[in-house]
Amino acid sequence: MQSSHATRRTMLILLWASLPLAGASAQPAEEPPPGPQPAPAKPQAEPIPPPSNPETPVTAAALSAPAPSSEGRRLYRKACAPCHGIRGDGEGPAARFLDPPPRDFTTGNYKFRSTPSGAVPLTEDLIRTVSEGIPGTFMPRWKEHLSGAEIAQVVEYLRELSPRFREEVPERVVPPADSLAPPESTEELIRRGEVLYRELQCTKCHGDAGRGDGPSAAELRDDLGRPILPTDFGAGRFRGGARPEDLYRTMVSGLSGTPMPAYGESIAEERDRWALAHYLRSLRRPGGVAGYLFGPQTPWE
Amino acid sequence: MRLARQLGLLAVVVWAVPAWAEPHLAAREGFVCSQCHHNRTGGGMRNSFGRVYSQVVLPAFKPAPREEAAPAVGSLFLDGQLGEHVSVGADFRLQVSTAFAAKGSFQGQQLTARPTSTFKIAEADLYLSVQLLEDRLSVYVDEVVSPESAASREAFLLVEGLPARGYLKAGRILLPYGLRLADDTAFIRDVTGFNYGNQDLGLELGAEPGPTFLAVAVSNGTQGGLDNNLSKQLTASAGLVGRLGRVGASFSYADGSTEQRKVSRRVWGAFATATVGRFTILAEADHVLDRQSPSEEPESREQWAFYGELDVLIRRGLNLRVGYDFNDPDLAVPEDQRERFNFSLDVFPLQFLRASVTYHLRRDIPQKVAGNQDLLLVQLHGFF
Repeated sequence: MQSSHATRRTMLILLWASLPLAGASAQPAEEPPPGPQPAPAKPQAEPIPPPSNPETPVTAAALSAPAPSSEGRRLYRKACAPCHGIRGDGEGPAARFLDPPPRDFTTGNYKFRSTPSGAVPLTEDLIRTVSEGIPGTFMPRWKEHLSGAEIAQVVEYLRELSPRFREEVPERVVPPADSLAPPESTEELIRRGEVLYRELQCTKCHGDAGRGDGPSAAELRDDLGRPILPTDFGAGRFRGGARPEDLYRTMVSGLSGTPMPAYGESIAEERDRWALAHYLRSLRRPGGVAGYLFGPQTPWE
Repeated sequence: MRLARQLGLLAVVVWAVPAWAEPHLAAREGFVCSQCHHNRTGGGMRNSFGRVYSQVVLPAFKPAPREEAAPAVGSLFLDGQLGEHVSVGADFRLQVSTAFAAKGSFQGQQLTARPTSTFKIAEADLYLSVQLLEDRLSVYVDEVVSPESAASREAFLLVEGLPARGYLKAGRILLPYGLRLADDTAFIRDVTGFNYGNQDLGLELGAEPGPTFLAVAVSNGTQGGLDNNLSKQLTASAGLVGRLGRVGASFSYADGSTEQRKVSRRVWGAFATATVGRFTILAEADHVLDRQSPSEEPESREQWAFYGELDVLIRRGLNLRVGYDFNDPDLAVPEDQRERFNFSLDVFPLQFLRASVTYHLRRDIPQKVAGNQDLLLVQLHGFF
């Protein structure tokens, strides 16, 4: 009896020891990514720009290094595919219990952009979203787990998942974040922001006090017909980022695929854009003990 | 008497081979077990999302943003994949168990249980999954390599892609019943026999249509020690999962009767979870009916077991748990109940690492002095 146990244990050890070899031999060398293949000779519609967010650990040096899509694909499969799916269609095995659902990368539609509503985003937009995550969702802050070079490779692969990135040359409508100079928040700016908030009828969706409870809130649907709630500014959780420059970008470019329009033309004055951004930030209310205990949680925060 | 011996032996086995899962995490997030585990009914190897979750969501300390000079690509992030088709995983737990002194009495005689303290490997499991056909057919092995001799906890062929997210398991399986609790010594897992130390050979057919789940297993009936190749054990579990909680019910019937003797066990129970903010509640109640005839003892024995736990997510990676166990081992015998109050602090300081401290305040009848020994368990858990 004892010897059969010993034999079994030895066989187990051998089996497990042999697994890495089996796995290494099973790894495909240069399998092309799914979907339409990029033409190698054709230049990218948009070169990878230097980082716009100084907090994002992606340097120009890293971005200028070659980012082979096979590495991006490998990282995508490890980190992104469980939710977004192997094909990038948002139908990963974990997708059905995630709310909001994971993005379908094959359409090229992205909420958080520096480009006009409905246009494909800039590479820096994708890098920012992957790096910073999306608060209030399961999309984590990947800069805590992947290096800047790795994020650049993943983003390069994301661009391969939709042919729109090869066909469209997006126009920038929001200046790079590092070229923006948000003014200090003042009482005067906040008052001006409040006036704009009412003039632009933000109250219809977001409510008088910015709690996301406007008269239209219950009827809102995204482009796929799913119910969608307006942001509760009081919770202070902005999916596109909570810095003044993040709110500026969201106001100007809107959130594609949602009822949130682009207000770039409606708020032409630079000062007014900052005024509204500061006003929205001023609506954040302290959570207190009740907020800590019973408030909504972002899993990875 | 024989059945009592069998149950006693079962309890020893359960105590000797504890194992864990984390249903409070699933409850907190509004997930089904298969969201994070390769095994559709939970426990064992984590799947691709489970690995992401365990590395991104669980750790208490956020790593510093990575620098450009970071070493090899993907070095921080481990997915357990060995190539396209083979994935592996592991769980390892070292435990220091301290039992405190207790006193009791039986027929006027004073009984004493001495304090003890011991290190032990509470769990060392290796997992292997080989995808034969992507998302359709795989082989899964959950191999216990310690503390006892090597043994398969689970080893089955998994057919997926059936209608309504259906699946079929064929092989050695943990039967689908109730909450797959972290603690096999909880009375609901101990007295029902549905725990990590007690698997069975058979088939399990399941589905997860929409927010519901259903699993039905037909097995030899070794659960409860009733396997005699004459009949089979039927086990079923079903429920509804929502963002704020879940409700479900489980049932099992095993008949080990022969021409000379009738033996059967019927177990049924209900379970529920609820989550609000940082609080998560899990509860389960089970009724067990054992019948045997002819018998020197009463021909039937009924017992109840209840489990409740409250988890508080103090901060990311730090969980406080307060729990309560109750068992009335024989409804016909007054004042034989036992209960246990549990206090536990879990911390996931880093990826792949967890530490926990648990105190069990145990109360049993005076003559079962060992059942009145309080326990302090300190555990270090490595996993991927």
